[in-house]
Amino acid sequence: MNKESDMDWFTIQPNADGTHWKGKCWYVHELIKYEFDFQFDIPATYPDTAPEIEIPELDGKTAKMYRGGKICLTIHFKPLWSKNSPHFGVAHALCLGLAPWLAAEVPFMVESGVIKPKV
Amino acid sequence: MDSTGSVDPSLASVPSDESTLSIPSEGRQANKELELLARNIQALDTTLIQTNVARLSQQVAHITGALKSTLARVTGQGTAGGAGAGAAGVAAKSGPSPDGADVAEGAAAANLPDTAVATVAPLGPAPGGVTRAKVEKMSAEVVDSNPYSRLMALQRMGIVKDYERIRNKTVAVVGVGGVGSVAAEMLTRCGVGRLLIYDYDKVELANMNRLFFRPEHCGMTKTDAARKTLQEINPDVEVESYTMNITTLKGFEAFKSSLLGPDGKSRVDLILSCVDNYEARITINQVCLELQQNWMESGVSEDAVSGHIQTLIPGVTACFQCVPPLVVASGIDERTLKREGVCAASLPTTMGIVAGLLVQAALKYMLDFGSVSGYLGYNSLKDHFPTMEIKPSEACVNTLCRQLQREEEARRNSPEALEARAAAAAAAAAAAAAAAAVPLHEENEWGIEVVSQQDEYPSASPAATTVPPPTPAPTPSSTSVSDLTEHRPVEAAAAGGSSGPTTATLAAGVEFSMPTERGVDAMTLAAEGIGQVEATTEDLMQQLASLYAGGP
Repeated sequence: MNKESDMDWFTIQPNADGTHWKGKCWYVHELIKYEFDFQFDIPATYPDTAPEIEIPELDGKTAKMYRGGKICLTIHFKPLWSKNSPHFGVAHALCLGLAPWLAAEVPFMVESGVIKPKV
Repeated sequence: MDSTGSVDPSLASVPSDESTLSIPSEGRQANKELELLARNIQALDTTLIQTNVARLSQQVAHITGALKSTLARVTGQGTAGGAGAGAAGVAAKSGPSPDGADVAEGAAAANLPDTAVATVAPLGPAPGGVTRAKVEKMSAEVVDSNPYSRLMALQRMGIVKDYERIRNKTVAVVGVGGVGSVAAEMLTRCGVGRLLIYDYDKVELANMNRLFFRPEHCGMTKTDAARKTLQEINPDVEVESYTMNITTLKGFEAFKSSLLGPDGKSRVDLILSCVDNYEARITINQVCLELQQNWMESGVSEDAVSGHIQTLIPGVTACFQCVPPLVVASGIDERTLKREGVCAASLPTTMGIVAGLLVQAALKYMLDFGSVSGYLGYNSLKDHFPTMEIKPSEACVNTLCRQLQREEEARRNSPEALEARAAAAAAAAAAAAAAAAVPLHEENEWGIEVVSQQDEYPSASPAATTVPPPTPAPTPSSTSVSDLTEHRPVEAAAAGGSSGPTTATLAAGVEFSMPTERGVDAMTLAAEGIGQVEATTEDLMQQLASLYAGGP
């Protein structure tokens, strides 16, 4: 549905036993599409704890990121996950965790010049 | 080195003798450097002699240290004992006699247990060339060269019985950051038998605002840096380091199996959680419930001005999931949490204090002295240290916790336990009666009489009124909940509904809230849930792939 309206913003693939997921996500800012690879493991204490989504290529480019490219989910997502576990899942992590992060950070990073479009 | 600054001739001669025998060019080069330095010293202005003496002795010690390691590598044995004794004497620090220090260190490096995951690479000599010899048995002898003299003195002070028991203890420290590294150092200096340290992070300059790590560690993993430093401080402690992330599925299994002994049960006496995130704490909680392992948890707030430690005994005290974070329990909308800041603040002071409280509690627990609080908080702005006990919650989300609680309850109410308690009570009553039967004083030399106050002063309040003594730990004292990490609400004595009146007024600053209903009700679930899917995993994967392949 999203794809038809060109509103889709990620592709994702799990490994054989569903413990490691990776894919691409993108965000359009000022008519330029910025695409990144992302990945995450399902933690051992899932569903009590949320997966930690990582964007390795952006590691170190913004303060809202922990070692290894783990995006900061503390404020906007983790409390939501705690309230709604166990029925939250990977889809929720992406839509409510990764998407807002991209929306907040990509414009900031572009504006401050740490990422540039590959023109 | 004597005070006039000339190089000890015996030192200069020892390396040159050996260099002609078996050391490769490094030894000879070191010898040349030595002679060069000696010549430089003699050419110096007398007024500069003192500073240069100190510098020279450091350099000499460094060179002889490199020599020792080369010799050890080449000969494969600690035959450098002789040279080591001379060289360490030059470095002139008052410390334990270094005789045989190198032999012991070489032997120690070879004997470290070779576990699959732990790094046990033999370490080079300490900077400055001074090493501490391994000590077979802790001695209480009060001499300057005994590293345990001040600890063993605790016995004579009547604080601890059998302090050497600490040599049989194994402690796991998970997280070797601001709190964990300090805690590990404290345990090492106390002479704990074995230390397991876990962390996956590297040391960076941003860590320099805290204790323990030094700029030269930057780039090393925290576990490697810690292991090196700790082993040098106290070679009697067996340090096993694990560089891994315990929250992944593989990491969880590896973490759990690293704690197991040959009998399939936990081989550690205590686990200290010094991690900085919720996920890791939940992981440790789960592992400890599964292994029925007692553990202690520590935390420092993001604003660096408060912290806490907790003791968790599966089934007996609350587990980490019994008390949900404040934001979840009171239903606060997370959108109201606003933070401009980009990273957590930390102070070496708060971290040091929390580490001190944590290790103090660990020592009291392991060596059985003093009393260990279930929870001890620290509010540095007001210098407030609240203590309380947190009971387990019968509504805990963790099934294993609830099961362990039931088992503990059954154990407490079992006939044997009841009998034991009755017997203990009877013994106490008998002891009290015996004490009362004996007169307090045999003689009354001065003819002192005790007169009831009521006769003398009938208007005064009757002597029978007693001031209630200050209530000790079980009553929760006031605490600034908002300062604590993860904002945990206190389930004041009513968590299990088993003790205390439910209408008890709480002390100032204590909040009580039950978690709001979580999850979805059955109707919504049936309507919106996905339900059982017949397709296999492969089919689903294919569907996913086709979603991408097929265009709009």
